[in-house]
Amino acid sequence: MSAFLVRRLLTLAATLLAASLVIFVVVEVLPGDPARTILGPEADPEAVAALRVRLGLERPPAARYLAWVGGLLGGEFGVSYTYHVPIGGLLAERLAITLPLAAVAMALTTAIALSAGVYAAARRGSAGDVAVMALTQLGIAVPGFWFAILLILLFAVELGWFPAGGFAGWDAGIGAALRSLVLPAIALALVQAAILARVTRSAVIEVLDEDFMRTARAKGLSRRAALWRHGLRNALVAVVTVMGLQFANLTAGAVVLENVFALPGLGRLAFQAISQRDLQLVRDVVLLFAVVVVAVNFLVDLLYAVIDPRVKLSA
Amino acid sequence: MALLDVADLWAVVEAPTGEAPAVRGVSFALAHGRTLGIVGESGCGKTLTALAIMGLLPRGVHGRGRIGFAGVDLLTQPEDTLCRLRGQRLAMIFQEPMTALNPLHPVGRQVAEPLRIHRGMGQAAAYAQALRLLTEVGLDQSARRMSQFPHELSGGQRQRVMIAMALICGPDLLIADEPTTALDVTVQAHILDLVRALVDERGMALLLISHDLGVVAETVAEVAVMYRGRIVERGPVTAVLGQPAHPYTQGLMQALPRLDARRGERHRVVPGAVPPLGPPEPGCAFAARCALAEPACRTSDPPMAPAGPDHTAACIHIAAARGAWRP
Repeated sequence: MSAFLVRRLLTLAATLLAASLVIFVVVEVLPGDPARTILGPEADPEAVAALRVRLGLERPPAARYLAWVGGLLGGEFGVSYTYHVPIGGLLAERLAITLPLAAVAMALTTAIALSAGVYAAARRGSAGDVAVMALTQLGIAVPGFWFAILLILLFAVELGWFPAGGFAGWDAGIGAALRSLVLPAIALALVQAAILARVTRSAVIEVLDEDFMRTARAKGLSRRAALWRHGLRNALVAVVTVMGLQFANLTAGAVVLENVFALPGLGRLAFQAISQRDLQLVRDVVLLFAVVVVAVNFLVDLLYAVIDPRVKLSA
Repeated sequence: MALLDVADLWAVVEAPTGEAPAVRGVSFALAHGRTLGIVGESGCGKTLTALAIMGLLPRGVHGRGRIGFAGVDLLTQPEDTLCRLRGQRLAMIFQEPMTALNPLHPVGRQVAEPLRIHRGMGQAAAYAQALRLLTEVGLDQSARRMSQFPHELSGGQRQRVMIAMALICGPDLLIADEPTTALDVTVQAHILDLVRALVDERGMALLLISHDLGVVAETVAEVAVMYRGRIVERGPVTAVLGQPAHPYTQGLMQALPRLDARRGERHRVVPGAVPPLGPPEPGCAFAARCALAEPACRTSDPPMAPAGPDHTAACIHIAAARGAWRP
């Protein structure tokens, strides 16, 4: 088990290193001079040159990369030149919105997908199965931001149950803060739940045909009990794999939905940093996304080992 | 009264092209403590017969007829009654011990599970009994194996686990579907000895499904030969395998490899192949491959006719076939 962990942690570090290189190169080749963008097209060329020096833009790329990564490792994120605040604090503040949003969305996704997928699989070919499959097809076909607009119209404008946008802030109390996350989380979750429900259904159907399910029935378990006691955990390996991938999709989806709901989260920050040419901020935000995705994949790998006792040997 | 009384059992496979009966009017009885083997080629309907008795026919296959078990017709029982019987009075072991055990549960938990289901036993008591039985079926280091997973065991060890799991509630009837087919020959012999010993000791009835005439000859007292969904011959093992009366059984016996075969002598086989599953046609199912077939064989279904004491065969040429038989 410890060798398994060490190997996975090394992979994790290597992935992040590669990600930081790719991010740095991509940000380098982005057109536009940040100093000129900040100071405006009418600015004095000397002021622009001075700002370039202050931002360290005149140094060679390798030196800037090392300075960036070295700073991150030392916990030094620098100061955003559009927000004029330390980037570390800014990221922490935004993460405190996006992570709960993604977590709530993932919880909703799992709850909807597992119940719909297992229901459909257990009644393969029935009207209920066909209905679930049709709904999930719809869920996959319709983009999340459109769901978001429908949800705002119904639950915010018509019924007034939830705010249409903005974030109450954690200082306003957990209830108020969570209320502002409900609609975006639902909009995020519906699409992912539709995908995951289909994955769950096919994984459960596959498991239902396994020999050990027949053994479970031969022991005297009912169809339902055999599914719960023996089937579900076996189906979970495929489901957890897709859930890991979906968490990455959720963070990407958050970029769009945080803009629809005017939530000051990490996605909105990324969007604004790119439009402002705040390259230092862009690098850090994108790398943070990468950290989240890699960390989730690491968790998924650990989950495999928890679910399936054979994983430790083959790892 | 017989423990198991199967009468005119049909198992019909639903196919896009219509219904195809895979088991066609099978009848046999098995008394308490007796042993019966069903032999036949792949696809002759022997496994479906066993699954029909367990009430575990796969999707798209329907059972018809009557399966009397301890006086009730299993085919008409509600699902919860069948659940109470399965694992408790009716138990089954399967061919593939690799895939028939849940890969994610420790062995001890799987063996103890029937006690927890049927007897409502607590974990400690059920595990203690599982350990006793695992030791009894000859699983070495059984205490350590309780917490191991199926992938940590060999094929023979896994089959011992399957046997312990099937026997833990003390069933009246054990159905063993090709229990040794997936195992090495030396392990096969050990497992067969074990099954035979346990059946004797516990007075269970045994229904052994196998394509292997040798396995059947060693393990059971009576045998039924199936071909294309029908029983074509049945009787005591010594009679059926010693003096087969049906041309198909004779073909099977002659197809057995022999140590005393002369050099260069061709290995004999049953000519032709089992036709694919299709709608029922009149006449003897074996007529198309039978050397003795004549027009009458293709028009009406031959009834089971006596071929010796307790020995019957479904052939209108029993006398001629008998005369032609040379081992």
